[in-house]
Amino acid sequence: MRALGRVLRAPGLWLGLAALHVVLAKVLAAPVVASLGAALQPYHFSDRGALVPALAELLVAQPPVVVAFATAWIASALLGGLLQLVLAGGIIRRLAGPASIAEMAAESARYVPRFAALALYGWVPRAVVLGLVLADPLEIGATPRLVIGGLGLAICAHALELARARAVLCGGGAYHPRALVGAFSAVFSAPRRSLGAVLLWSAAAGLAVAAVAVVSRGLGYGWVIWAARLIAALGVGLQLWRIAVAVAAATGDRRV
Amino acid sequence: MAPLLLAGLLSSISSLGGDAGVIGRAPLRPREERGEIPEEARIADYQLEVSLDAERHELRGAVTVTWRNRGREAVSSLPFHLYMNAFRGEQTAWMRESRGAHRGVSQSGESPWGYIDVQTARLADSGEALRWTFGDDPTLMTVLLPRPIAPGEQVAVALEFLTKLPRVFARTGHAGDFHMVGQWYPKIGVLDPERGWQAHVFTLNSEFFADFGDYDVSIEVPQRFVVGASGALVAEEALGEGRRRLRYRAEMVHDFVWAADPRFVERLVEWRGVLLRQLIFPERVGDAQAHFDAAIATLESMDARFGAYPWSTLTIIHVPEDAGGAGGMEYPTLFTTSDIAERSLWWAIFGLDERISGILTTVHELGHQYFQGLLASDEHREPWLDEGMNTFANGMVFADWHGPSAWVARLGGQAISEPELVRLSLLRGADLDPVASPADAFLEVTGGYGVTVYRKTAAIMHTLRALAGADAFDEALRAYALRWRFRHPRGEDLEDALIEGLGATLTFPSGSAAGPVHMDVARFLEQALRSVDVLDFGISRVENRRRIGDAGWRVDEEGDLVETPRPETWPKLTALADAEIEGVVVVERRGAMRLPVELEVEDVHGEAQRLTWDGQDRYRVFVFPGRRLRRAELDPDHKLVLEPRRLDNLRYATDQPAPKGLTEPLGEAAEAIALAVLAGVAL
Repeated sequence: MRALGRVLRAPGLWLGLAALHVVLAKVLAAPVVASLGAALQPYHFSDRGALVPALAELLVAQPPVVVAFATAWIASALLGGLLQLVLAGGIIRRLAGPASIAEMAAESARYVPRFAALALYGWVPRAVVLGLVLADPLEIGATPRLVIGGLGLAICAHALELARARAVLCGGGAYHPRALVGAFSAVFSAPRRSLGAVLLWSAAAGLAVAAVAVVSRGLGYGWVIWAARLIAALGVGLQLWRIAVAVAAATGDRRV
Repeated sequence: MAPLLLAGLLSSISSLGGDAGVIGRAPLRPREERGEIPEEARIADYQLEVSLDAERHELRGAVTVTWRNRGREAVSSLPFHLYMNAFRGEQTAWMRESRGAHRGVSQSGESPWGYIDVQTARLADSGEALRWTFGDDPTLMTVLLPRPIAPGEQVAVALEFLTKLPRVFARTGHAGDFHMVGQWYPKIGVLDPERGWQAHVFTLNSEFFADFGDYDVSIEVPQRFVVGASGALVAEEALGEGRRRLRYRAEMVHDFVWAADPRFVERLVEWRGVLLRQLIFPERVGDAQAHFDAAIATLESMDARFGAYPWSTLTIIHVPEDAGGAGGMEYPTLFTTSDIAERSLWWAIFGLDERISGILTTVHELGHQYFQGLLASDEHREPWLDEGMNTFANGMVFADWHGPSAWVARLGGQAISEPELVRLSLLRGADLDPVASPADAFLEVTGGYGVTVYRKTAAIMHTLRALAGADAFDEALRAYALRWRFRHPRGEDLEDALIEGLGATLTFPSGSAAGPVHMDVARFLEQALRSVDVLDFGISRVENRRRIGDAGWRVDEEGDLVETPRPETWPKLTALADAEIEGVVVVERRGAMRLPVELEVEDVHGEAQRLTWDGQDRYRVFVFPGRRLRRAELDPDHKLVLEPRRLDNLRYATDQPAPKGLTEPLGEAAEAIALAVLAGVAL
């Protein structure tokens, strides 16, 4: 609860980040809307209960619309990765204690190069996990692979977060790979705390899946976008909580 | 009818765990249930004895064909199909066109080839040896008779043959212990009194055409094999040395096929005196009931629409994963199906569901029992009469089974029906060849066979049904099916039946003073079946404009020229009363196909009006004096399944606000997924 308290004491951070996500998603989807509008002009399709055949017809007639959809989603992933680098320093500072927007911005800017290096190193264990999951050398089946893969990625995410928090709060290095190796060591030496972070990562991933499920199940209904926004806001809260766990761990490290 | 209810109506016999089935069953349903079978339809009887070498995947067999000359002239030779020779080498007509692949399954394995080698031919009565010749392709053999067979006479020819089964990739063959034994024996051609012998070289898209007759078939297999076959099992005999002989009898069928595999698990149910036998693999046994539900729903629908299923047995064969090329094929009283896609947790999470994999296959292949099995049109010359009409009937089966809004695939609240699936498939490749083309006119490289023969035919029938009215159309089609049972109808027979049932002309109220709109059914069928014309309408303009007034000089009642002054600026449309406005709609026929189409206009007060345009001219301008239009829509009830492009059928007036339509929900979906990705990756 100590980590959750850090998040709850920063409601502005939570709401601001959630609003940022909503705005960015709107911007990312704007070319799709424009592409659909251009493809349909000057006609209209008004039957919200028959979107699938209409979309199929549209995609056959106007293949570039597919590109618009794909571009929006790929751009979302890239932008998400960029936000990790750009915002992490400020978020960690704020979760560690009160900080002004200016202080957060300065901290964010200061750590971008270091976090870029950490992110690069972080892809090595992630690649190993993904490689093992895809190769399935033990032939364990789809569901166990999904569980193990998720667990591996969650541990990687927590270690990366811990390395970042240590860099910001303890002045630790971040350009050398041993920063990440040390974080992994800390993850495995505090299994209870790490388990919490893993569960939070899993819950956040689950919410992302839930948002997509809401879209597929509710396609055509007006409430879908609001449901997705609500889920995304909850997801942002979970992600902050997960970062706060790393912040608490880094703070504890310093005390030790 | 719901599947669970159907299942409850069934009297499940038992699972016998072997292939004993019910021995001694009569192959035909009782006369009072199946109806009369014309004696003159029985032309070719077969007595077959065959032994399976399961290690070498070879069949050693003997056949005695008793053929009756029901033609008008004497016959001095008999053509025989040797279909298995299509797989003899890559120089055959079938292999040249297919390039070793069929429906996405490629020839594979060390020894993929198959063939049939006729070793002896004799007159069955005298034992006199017969000579035979081949043409350009080994799939067609001609046996020369020592004396002509006069009309009304019959001849019995005995042939011995060796059939090597190919590694299965196109309907027939072996995959390990699985043996799908189709088109495995010499089959005599069909003597058409008007066209002469109908015996074709076996080509890629061609299926089969044969006369009806009785089959008496003895199959010798290793004891461990479970066998499923056409007709009814009438005797079983242990032979020793781990082998046994099964004897089947099938009556008034035009082919005989069988499958054998030691892993088959048997499931049985009975429906109105028809024994449904399903041979399925242990790992898929859980799907057996779903296939039975689909089969019963199909029988219920097809029996009501096309007359009684005449035979007493129906066998459903499942194929193993490495023999997918054998799946989804029809034979008399037996068909192969495909597996139902496994539902994972993700399906439930994302609200996905479908009735295409497995279920649609069972519905489709069972539907062939009526069009291919019972009507038995020439699938080489007119494949649309079977595949296309059956595809249309599949849509009817789903509607009868699950209601008029039956779906075949669903994503959350969004569903797609079978006719919609048919319509969308016409977007690509449906305008290359006429529907009423022979099978070998379709080239594999164009990919037009499936969409044209199956889906465009179905779309034509769905469209005609919607225009003519379901009751009249259904009655006409039923009359056709009843009249032509066991009689090999041609395309013109179906067209005549439709014209007779629907009337030569369909009449629609025009909705205006122009008088009713007429549609010539024969002309529609001619254009739909024998041209590549596409049906496509669109609205090119919807606008409101000021009605013509009195401005300028005119002659008054006393013969004097008087001037009504022109206002300095014409008032804006919004400032005009409705009476001073006229709505204008321009509709275009963008495809070459001519067909009446409904137009619905709605004014700003929400009042709608329907009109029918005959669709003959290139375009038509509709003017609505005194009405300020909001929107106009073509084919508002979506009757024209034959029209693949519908997105240009709805348009709002240029001066009226339009809803966002498709853009809004899809844009929001894109945004929501972008948000999910962003929130999942960021931070």
